[in-house]
Amino acid sequence: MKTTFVILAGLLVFAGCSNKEQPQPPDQRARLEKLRQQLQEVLGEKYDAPIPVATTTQLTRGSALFAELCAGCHGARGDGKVEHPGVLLQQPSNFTDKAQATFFSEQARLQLIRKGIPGTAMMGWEEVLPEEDMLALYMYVRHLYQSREPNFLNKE
Amino acid sequence: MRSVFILSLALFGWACQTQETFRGTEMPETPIADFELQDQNGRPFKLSDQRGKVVLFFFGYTFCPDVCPMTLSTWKRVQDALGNDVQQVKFVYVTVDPERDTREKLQTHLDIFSSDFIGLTGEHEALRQVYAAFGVYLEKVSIAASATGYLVNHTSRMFVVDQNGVLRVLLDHAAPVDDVVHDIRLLLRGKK
Repeated sequence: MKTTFVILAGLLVFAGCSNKEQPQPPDQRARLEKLRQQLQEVLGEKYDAPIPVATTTQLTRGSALFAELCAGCHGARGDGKVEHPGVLLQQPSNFTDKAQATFFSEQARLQLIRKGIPGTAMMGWEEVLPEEDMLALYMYVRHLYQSREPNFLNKE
Repeated sequence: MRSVFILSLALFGWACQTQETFRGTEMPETPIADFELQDQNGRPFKLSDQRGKVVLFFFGYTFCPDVCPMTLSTWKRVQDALGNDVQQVKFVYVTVDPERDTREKLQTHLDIFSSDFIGLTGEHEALRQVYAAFGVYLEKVSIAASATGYLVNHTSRMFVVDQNGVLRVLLDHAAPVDDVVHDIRLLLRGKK
């Protein structure tokens, strides 16, 4: 009995230590892979073109737009945690997570803001926002991840 | 003696059923004046044609960044949870943004959640009368320097209309799926 308890406790501790990142469900992973491929085809050579460092004005504007347009689904901190979790049919992206933030290129993520993601609640904003606002929004979303990186202040 | 016992049980069951209350906010029974709008396929939709069905109404718009997609996600789960009862229920989404919500856009947006959801639009005056019938508040709020750069603040409740076209229950947009299903089933069982 005691041995069983020790084994179970060990397994629990091991599970707790090794569960640092939640793996994405296979269907969601496949969907994202397909979307990345489509974006590469649409953007062509531009897919990997970098987007410049943001100005303070752009980050301020992006932050205000994020609070209005994105926080409802992606959470006030952009970490995908919302007041009513599990309500949306698909889990919204966590912009503070390195793996998710770097899955698409910069231009691809800006394109997702413009066009949205078909078949999901993520709508495109190009009909509502001018290009400079969508760029500011992207820069703020990028900042959510970059600002958590070591030596962020030295890089900026 | 045995039949008295069974009768008592039946009476007790009946009493429990009649005392069961809605989990949403029960409204003083308010008949909704009949109206006609167009659905996302261009077909006319009249409230009076829905007699015999419980109808869930929500007033939203496709660019809504928060409560509308959440409500539609909840509706999808409610639809799945209702099982066969879903045949007696309609889910109706009325736009509060007829300028941007074309029929095509309503269709594309609702199809993300369920192709059975009905999206309604219409002439401004016809829509205004429907908003007034349900007491829906709405206000445009500019967010960008362009004609289409606005959000719409709006009432975020679900309105549950019974089989006789009478508004019976209000539910919060974030109401748990179980609560929505519960209140729909109470109406389907004929709760007065």
